[in-house]
Amino acid sequence: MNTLLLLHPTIVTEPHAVEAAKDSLAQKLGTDKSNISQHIIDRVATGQVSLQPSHYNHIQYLAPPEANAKKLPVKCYEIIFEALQSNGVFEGTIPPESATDGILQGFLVESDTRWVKPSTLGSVVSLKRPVGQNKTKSSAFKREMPFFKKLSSPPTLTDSSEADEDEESQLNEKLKGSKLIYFDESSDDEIIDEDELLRDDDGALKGPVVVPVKCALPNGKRRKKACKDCTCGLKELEENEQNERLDAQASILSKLATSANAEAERIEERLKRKQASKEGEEVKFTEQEVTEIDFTIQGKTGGCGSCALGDAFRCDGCPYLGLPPFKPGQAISIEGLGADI
Amino acid sequence: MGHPSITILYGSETGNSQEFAQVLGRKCLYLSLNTVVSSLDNFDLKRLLDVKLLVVICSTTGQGDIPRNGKKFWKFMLKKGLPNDLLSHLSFTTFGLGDSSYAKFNYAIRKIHKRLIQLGAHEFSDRAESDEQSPEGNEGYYAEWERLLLEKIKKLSHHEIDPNTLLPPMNGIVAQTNKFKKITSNVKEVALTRFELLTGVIEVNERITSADHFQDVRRLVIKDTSNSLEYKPGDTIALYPSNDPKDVESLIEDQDWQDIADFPLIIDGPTPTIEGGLVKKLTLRSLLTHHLDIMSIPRRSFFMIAHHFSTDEREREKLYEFSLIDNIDALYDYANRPRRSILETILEFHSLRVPVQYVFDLIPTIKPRLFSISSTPSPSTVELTVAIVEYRTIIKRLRKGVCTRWVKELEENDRIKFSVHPNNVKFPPGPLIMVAPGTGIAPVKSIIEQRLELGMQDMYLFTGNRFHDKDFLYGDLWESLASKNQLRLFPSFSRDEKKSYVQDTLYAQSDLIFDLIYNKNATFYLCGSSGKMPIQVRITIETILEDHLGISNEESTKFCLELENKGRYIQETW
Repeated sequence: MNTLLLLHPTIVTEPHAVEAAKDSLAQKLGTDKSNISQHIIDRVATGQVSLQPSHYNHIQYLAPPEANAKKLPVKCYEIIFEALQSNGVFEGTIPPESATDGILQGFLVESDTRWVKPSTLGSVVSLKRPVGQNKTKSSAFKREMPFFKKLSSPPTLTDSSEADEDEESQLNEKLKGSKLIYFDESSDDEIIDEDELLRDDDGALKGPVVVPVKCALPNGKRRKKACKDCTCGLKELEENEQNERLDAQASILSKLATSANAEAERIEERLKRKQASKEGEEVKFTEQEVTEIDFTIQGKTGGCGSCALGDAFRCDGCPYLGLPPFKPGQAISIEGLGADI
Repeated sequence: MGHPSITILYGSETGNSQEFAQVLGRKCLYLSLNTVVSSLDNFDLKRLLDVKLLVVICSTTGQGDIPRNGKKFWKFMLKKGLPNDLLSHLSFTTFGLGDSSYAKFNYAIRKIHKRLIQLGAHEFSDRAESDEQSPEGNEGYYAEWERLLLEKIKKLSHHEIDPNTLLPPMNGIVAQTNKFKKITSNVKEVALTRFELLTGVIEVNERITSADHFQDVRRLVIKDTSNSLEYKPGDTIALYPSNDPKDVESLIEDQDWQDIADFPLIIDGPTPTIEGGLVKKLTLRSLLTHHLDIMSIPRRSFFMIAHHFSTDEREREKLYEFSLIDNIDALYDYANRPRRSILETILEFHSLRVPVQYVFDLIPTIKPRLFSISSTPSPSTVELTVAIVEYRTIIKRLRKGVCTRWVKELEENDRIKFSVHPNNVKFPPGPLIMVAPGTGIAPVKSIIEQRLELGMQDMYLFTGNRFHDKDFLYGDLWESLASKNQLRLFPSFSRDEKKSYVQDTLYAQSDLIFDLIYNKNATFYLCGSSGKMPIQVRITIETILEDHLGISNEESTKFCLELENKGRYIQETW
């Protein structure tokens, strides 16, 4: 019994997986492990290894799960078909959605993972070959197929002029295996001079470079940030603004300090007025009283309703800027500001 | 059919590239792409063979170099033996973060881009080289670049996910409350359990500016008890600061995490890369103390996630607004300008309740801070010159740098973790002109001390400080060396009676500078803060060349570039 194990290039890095596959294959076919020959599929596909025609009873394909999502080039199925004896079986991790390719090749597709080379070709319905291939002959299309046409040279990765998209990506997938060697950490390669990279620009960096919309942010506004070592005066402007805010804070904090006293006076005042007013008459506060900083009045949240929420919500020029948020009706505690004031 | 996939790799020194990578990654997830976001070095390079769409976002560091977390990737890419079709299956675009005050502006991303093309990859969307010095900032470039890129990606997308959908966390964490509580009260001890790093002992932590000067600059000497330090002038030391336990406690209280904060923590799924490794016996508290940068300014990616966690309609809307690039101005005013921290933001949005499994996604990790070494090579000690960052903004509470707050509190004999980072600065023989305003003096001090040990004396030092008597860093040393003719000293003081800046003093020494550079093969070494200073110094040098040679500005610019390519104009700014 002639058995062939075709390996995806990346599986080679996992010898235990290959051995396990061989063991189970030998067991399943009732043959000895030593009867199973193996090749890496890309070497077969590129013609570096040629397979004896009509030789194998069984060809098994093994690819890691992450690699079999992509189709194999049609060429591979052609070679496998030729290498199988009549009634020979191709099995394994055949990429999904490859059935059409298999049928086109002449396989009897029994399932997604089991294809059989039929014994009597005449009984197989011939499907039209893709344009460009010999299609003049009869249903015995086996003869129409190029018989072990060896490639003059392995295809290079960049030569994709003839390959369709699937084949191209498949080619990449296969060549990936051969590229793994460059990632070998033990190799102590020579290093190119990185300064040379920029010395002679051969155009790699000549392409378009993204520039921001001139002097504007996405919202069309100019950035308000002063440069380090600013000389245009923006920095002074910013400093002035900062000082103003610090002054405003100082005034608020000093008001807070006297507020206990003021509060007591205000309550007294209110009581007096209430006594003076007739029952049921509305007690009106003066404008000044309302705007007075008084965090203890329930529901008071500042003039615009946002002061209490914190800097993120405060208006430009809000006297509370730089101070922590406070809950309506709650006094700002100076301790809450930390020890560094 | 599976979803299309995209791989976004970043090379980041301070976290800006990482931020953009995460913002882009999140957008791709909402376009139902299989999205991988990783640092260049944390990505298994073999997987490049499976990548169809690649985005590289990378900043430039040092002398046009790839950032720390991209060194391994870059070493691979530079292998001479790689075939020119290695990446021919791959479509890519790049985004560079740069600062045009550096001569080697965006060199890292240019090199990466060029190499990817050499290896057969195809550019599928226009690349960008952003400039932090531009009025639009890096964000302005990013916005336009992302717009073009997403237009192309949208065509691949099977469907877009509603932005109100909360995606599962990328690096979820689970507190194991069924286990025994852990005691993590000794913050300094816990910090020492990061075994990947060197352990040092603080030998000196002294203020070297006068007490009445506004800025506190420290001379920090770290002793390596194993006597195995290896460094050269120009190299840097990374320090690994921890947050203030009080700040951590206020976050834990605000978020009602007290009941789980001290139980063992497991990371569910991939562990994010943390330079220097995680502390042992991880708990939520130790994670927040040693690894998550709660004092950093919240970025757009923070708000992209945070808005899901607010129950108040108004707050949720506001958080969402801050996540939009069109509102970058509002976010700038709210967060960047006043230097508001993530902690303060979380405390301010009172309805914001962060599910604990999202903290890794929400809060960036604390990046180690790099400081230039200011001592001559020694196997046992290393000295740093650290400016303590403290300032006020409109926010009442004093702003403090995470690392410098931590440095300020270090006491003698405290043990800390650190690492040495070689910078590969090569100083050719011959005269050395050094321009070092402010803490730019640190690496310069190291090279001067080494040259003195080697008996090399052809050194010209241009210092820049505010006052001779307040912040003239190591002024006594320079003056003493100058008096012994071991060094020529040209100090500039910007706030003393005779005001001058380094570039003024350089121009005043025009004949000397010209002679040294043009006739004596001198090397020019410029260190200090980035921004206008290095540009103005360069213009000064160009002007000196023009004056003496009668050449055009174009020619003098070319001359300076050639000096730079020969390694005779070295700029180290931060």
